[in-house]
Amino acid sequence: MNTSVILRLLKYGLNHKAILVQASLLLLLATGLDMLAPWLTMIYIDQFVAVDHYQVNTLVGIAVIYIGVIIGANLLSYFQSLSYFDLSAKVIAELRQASFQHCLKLPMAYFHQHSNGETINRMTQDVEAVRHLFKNIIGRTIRDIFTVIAVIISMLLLNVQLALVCIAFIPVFIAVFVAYRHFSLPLHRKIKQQSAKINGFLNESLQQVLLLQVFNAQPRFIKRLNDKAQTNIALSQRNVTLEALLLRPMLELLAILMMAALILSLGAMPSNLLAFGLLFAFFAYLARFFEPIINLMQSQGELLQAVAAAERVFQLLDHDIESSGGSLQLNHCPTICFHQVSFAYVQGEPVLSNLDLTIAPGEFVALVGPTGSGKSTIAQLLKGYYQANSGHIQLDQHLISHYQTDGLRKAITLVDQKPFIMQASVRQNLLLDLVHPDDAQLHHVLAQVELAPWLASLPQGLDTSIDNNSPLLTLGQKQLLCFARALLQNSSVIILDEASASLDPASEQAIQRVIAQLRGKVSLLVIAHKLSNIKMADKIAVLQQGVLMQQGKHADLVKNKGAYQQLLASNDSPPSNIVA
Amino acid sequence: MEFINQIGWFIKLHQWRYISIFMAIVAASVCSLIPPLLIASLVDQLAKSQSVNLVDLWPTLAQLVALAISTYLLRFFWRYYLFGSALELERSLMVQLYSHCCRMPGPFFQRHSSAKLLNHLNSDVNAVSQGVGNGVIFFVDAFVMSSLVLVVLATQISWLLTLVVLLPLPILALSIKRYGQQMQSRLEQSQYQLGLFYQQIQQTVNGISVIKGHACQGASQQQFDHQLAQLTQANIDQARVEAKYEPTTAMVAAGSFFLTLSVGSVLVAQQQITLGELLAFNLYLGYLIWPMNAFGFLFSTLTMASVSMKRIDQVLNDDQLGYASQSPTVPTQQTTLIKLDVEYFSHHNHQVANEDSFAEPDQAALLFKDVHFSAQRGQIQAIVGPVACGKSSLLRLLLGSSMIESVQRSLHPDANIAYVPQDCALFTGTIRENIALGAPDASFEQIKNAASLACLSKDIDTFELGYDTQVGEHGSQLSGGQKQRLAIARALLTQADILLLDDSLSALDNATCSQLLFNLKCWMAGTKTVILASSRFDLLNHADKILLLRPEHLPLYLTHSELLTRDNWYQQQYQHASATEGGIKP
Repeated sequence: MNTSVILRLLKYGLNHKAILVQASLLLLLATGLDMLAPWLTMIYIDQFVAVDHYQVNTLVGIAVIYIGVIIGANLLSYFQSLSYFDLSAKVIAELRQASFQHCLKLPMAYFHQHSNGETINRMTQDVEAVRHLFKNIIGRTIRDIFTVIAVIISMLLLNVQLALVCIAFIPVFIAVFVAYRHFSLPLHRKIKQQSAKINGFLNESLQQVLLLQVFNAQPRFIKRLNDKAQTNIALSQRNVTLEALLLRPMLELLAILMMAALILSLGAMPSNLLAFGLLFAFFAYLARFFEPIINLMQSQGELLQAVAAAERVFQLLDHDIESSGGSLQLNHCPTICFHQVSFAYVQGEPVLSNLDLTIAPGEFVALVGPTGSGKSTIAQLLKGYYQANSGHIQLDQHLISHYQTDGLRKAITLVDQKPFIMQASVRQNLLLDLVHPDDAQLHHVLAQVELAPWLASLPQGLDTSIDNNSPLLTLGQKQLLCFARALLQNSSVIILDEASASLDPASEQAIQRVIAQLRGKVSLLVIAHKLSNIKMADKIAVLQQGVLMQQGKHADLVKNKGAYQQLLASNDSPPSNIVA
Repeated sequence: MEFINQIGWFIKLHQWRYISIFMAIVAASVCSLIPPLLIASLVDQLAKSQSVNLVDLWPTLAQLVALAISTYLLRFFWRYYLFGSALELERSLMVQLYSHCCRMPGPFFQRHSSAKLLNHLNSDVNAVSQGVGNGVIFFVDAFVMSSLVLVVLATQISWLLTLVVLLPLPILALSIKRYGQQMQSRLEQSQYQLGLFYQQIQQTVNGISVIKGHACQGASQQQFDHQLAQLTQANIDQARVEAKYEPTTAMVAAGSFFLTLSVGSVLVAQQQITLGELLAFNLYLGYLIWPMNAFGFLFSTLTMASVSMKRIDQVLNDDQLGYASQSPTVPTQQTTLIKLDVEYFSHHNHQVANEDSFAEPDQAALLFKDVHFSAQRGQIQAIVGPVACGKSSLLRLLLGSSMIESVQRSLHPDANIAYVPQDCALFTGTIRENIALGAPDASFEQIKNAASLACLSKDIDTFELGYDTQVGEHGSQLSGGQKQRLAIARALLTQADILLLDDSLSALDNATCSQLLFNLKCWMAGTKTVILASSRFDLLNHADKILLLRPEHLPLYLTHSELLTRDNWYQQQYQHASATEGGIKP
């Protein structure tokens, strides 16, 4: 399973074939060249030192070749690292790009189901771990494996018997690797999960520190973090134990045992074959054999950690994206028609049942009903965030799924009950990705939603930087700002979801005026808490537990005994009648 | 080496542990140095006798196996404890940093966004922990192991050869020092870019509803592409330096080998050393290759750890509490619970609250001035005004979370404050946990009581899991009205004397609102006070006193009936509200 993750990462490398080929060729050359040095040593010792006979010309020749080989091998390996690092930077940029683009295309349901902290963690910490994996671990591992193979070949060429002793140890090394992996991988997965939890906790609580301070809950939250970190430590400590048992110390143990085995086989060798040069060269290869194995072992722990992170990144990348819809463009005000629509977020808990509702172009329709009656869900369906389980939604006789999703969302604007303000200037927050409007138009729209005095109070006007937690904005202003956004988008359908809920009467009146002004030009769907604001609607739809109870004009509905009357009775008896 | 200073306190704290780890490492290194000597003597023996007797080999073999096992045990021991302490440091730094954040007032979080803090709490803390974990190993391998090898070489084989080996080392030291300097600035640059990049991602994910809702992926994509290009460049620049470490050490090692072989063969020719000794010498040189690499790793690990520690320290040292640390004065009147006198408050004060001394008043940014507010026991008071008149800011002044020089705050010594913020600020967890946030020892009965006071119990009863229902991140599983009532229940459970509500009734229907106001009055029992910032004018006839804030007007602080007669704007708003709400009564 972890090989498949690594293979998948390597596949990204295939997108950059030129660099990949360059890096591999350099690697082959550098490793091969490096193998020559011990041979030269052997020739030197056997031909000159052991027989105590020195010939200056040949000596200088060997020395020059030796130095040339060393410099050449290291230069090649430097260029190899450079091109590999370039490759890894490109691959990781691609992966970062892919995860970001994928994230933007994930269905809204994904964000409702996963905490933001967790998603952020996958795209930041986990991708960073993958970067480390690709740049530092995979590259070195490939090089180490190359080196080990080259060393074994050279040893075999040098002396078959000694080489076989070394080769006999390789299965033991592999067994240790496999054992370590077997125990460690599940542990690493747990550690990653636990740190994702810690991250979610930190992401949430750091945004609300003031509240913790007011409720004097910091000590408990600190303790909670401490407990979570303790759990993480306990898991990591188990992993440290595994590493200490099976990695580096085990390698030292095996290295010494291997020497013992070599000595034994030396003893068994006919001594006339024993040349000092051979021993020199052999031990030189042995050092070159252990170095990559030390590296391989050293990186095992990191490798598994990074593989666990890579798996989480790939989980994100493999999550289904939402469809981009059909090819139809919505560029006028459509007739919206819900036909026998049923929907449930969780199977078995229907939110809407067999809903029939028509919104004519330019109509002002109000949705009312108690909490949980499915009003907001209608907006979610119209925005294309979710698809109906049965029945269908049509815009001008075409199924909603036949429209291009992006165009649909630009045409149908939802002014949310919890609006989000991006960390950007006021201008950017209004325009989003629009380019053409000039500042005059922005001022005009802001004046329309009565934010002009607010804008005037800002230190840098439209360029003032705001964000979701900015003290420069109240909840009411955020909603007004979203309203301005909707106006700028030139949407043909505007949905207000409880938008008037927390506005002061002045802003509320402003919105009423804007609604009156837009009425007839765009379709308006108002999900209302205060019935007073929607008395003048063309149609009021009363929902209860996902069922459409009544629809009609206010004047007609008040005459009938029914859900609307009950709602009026409970909603609009002024508070003073009850309070003692 | 700066890192040693930064982290010295931790090592001092666990000094015995580190001393024993250090001794174990030295012992283990000594053990692993013996085999080449054994081999050298064996080879010389072989060379002399020309015939091999297997029995002669056994003592050497037994010694080797004994060495192998003791090395293994020693290494296991020190690794276990060394990485254990590194983990411990990671935890303690994380908790220390988090505790610091928990202590700091609002403006701190404007200087350090939560994305930035999250990055410190993750990657930086991890890099520091690497510094005391792998860092120590690299240190030992680089210095202890290599000096032991050199001592053995000098005493057992030849001091002259040892000196020759050392010749190329200054080159290594110098180049690594140079790389280290290059590395430092590039590392800082790439960490900085990474921070910006993370902020971009956090912004995007947190704002996904806007981005998807308006199908404006293009704009965020553009910004992202820009950030990504810069980050990738910073990564590449850093890698350019990293790539130099290994070839340099390998080259120096090969240089040493070349020199020893040349000088060594001269010594063999002069019969000062044997060939077996020369072989052993070369074996030891093999032992030096890894320490030399470790030398490079040591510097890059310590540099990274040091850069990260600096970033953490910057946050930890940012501990200006300013005026927030001043305790409020005690009101002169016994029945007064809280009193606030504001000379002047501007938009600018938001940014610098608690810190800057009183700056020159900037008329354009003025939010309100000359406010004199005081609440007695048993009163409901309201703060009203148009959007952006400063209601929330005034509540935060009452709360004491932002303080500036021009504000004088008095609080009854026995009074506690509870607060319901505009955005409710709920936490992942169950409903029960959220209600009990301010009173962890509360019994289930008390929790249920608070929920029913806040008119929430009926809602909870409809949930399958009741009080154990998960509310989701920031309470995302609840409706706006449910969140507000949950936040109110949480505040009521704390048994505070002063309850500050920041527009907390906005998403409630009138029936619930009436019931809630009634319950609040019962809860107050004549001894507590409720201060409500609201834009619902229909509720104002319940308030004992109302503070009316309007931009470019002096604040009015009167009763409802006085305001009705004295202020036209107020009258209009109230009539509008009561007309639209009460007018359609059947």
